Amino acid sequence: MTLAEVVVAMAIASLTVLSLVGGYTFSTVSAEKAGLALAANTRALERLEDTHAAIWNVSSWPVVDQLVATNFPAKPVILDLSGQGAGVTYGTNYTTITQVSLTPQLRRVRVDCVWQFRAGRVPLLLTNTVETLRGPD
Amino acid sequence: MKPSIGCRFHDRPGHSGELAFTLTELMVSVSIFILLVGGVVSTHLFGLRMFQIQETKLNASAGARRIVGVLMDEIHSCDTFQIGTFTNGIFTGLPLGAPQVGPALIVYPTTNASSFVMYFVNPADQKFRRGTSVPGTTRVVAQSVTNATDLFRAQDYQGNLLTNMQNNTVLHLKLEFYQAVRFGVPPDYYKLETSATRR
Repeated sequence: MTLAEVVVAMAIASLTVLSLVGGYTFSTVSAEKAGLALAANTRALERLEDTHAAIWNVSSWPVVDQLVATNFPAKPVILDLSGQGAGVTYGTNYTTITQVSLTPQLRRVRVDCVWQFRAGRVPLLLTNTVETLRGPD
Repeated sequence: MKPSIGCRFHDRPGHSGELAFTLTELMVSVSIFILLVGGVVSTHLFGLRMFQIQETKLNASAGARRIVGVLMDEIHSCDTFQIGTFTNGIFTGLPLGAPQVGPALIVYPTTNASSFVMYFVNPADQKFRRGTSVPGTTRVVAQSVTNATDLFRAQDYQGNLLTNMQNNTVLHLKLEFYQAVRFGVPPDYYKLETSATRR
């Protein structure tokens, strides 16, 4: 076996090992990302459920309408806390309420939970969105 | 690849004493083999460690998914629900006027008070359980839940804590999972919060 053959064999073995390590690391980062995405989704749903609890009664006088955008400003939320003290992951819930139709009365409620995921050196901004339609109470 | 030992034999057939590796060749071969085995073992150990880290995260996520999916459906479709405490197999609802925050929840799907679904966490084993009015149906839905006092909370649409249940009460759920150090894997913490409103 010549030195060149040994070097080539070692290089191939190193590439294989590096690929394996890369695969393990990628799957761990993916698990972390999936967990945070779930947390962001539930936080967005939380805001959506809040809008469901807002009173929108058009059959009373005066009309009670709590389902307006000013009642649901942008709200920072904590998605996850690190087990080692540092590295809190934050998100922000943005709520958009738009009138879809007047007869019948229908509004679209959209919640965007924007959060940052840092995989390596490049931080990624990710958004989990939930949307529903709602009529008066 | 062509073994050099054979070449030497053909080149100099009379020298049978060279029908083996030299000490230097052997040492180099063994060194390369050790490097290779070391790399494989290190990769394997690294993989095991990654697996343990992932296992913690995925277990927490799976538990959270199970709870959130079922609980939200039950709250959406229920007749009433109440927050309270669960001690020695008995659910005690929080009195009116008291802040509606506690470790247990009872959900009545219909107006029949003898039919219910109950959620509670036992601080002793940190297990979060779901039971129903049918005896023997209690099961563990999540483990390592560490917040045993403020799991459920009744609030209004702006997130203010209520002291009384209303028709449009928002049920807020907060789950905190903590996995202590084990097998050299650093501690991990997972938090999940969401809300559900009765339809």
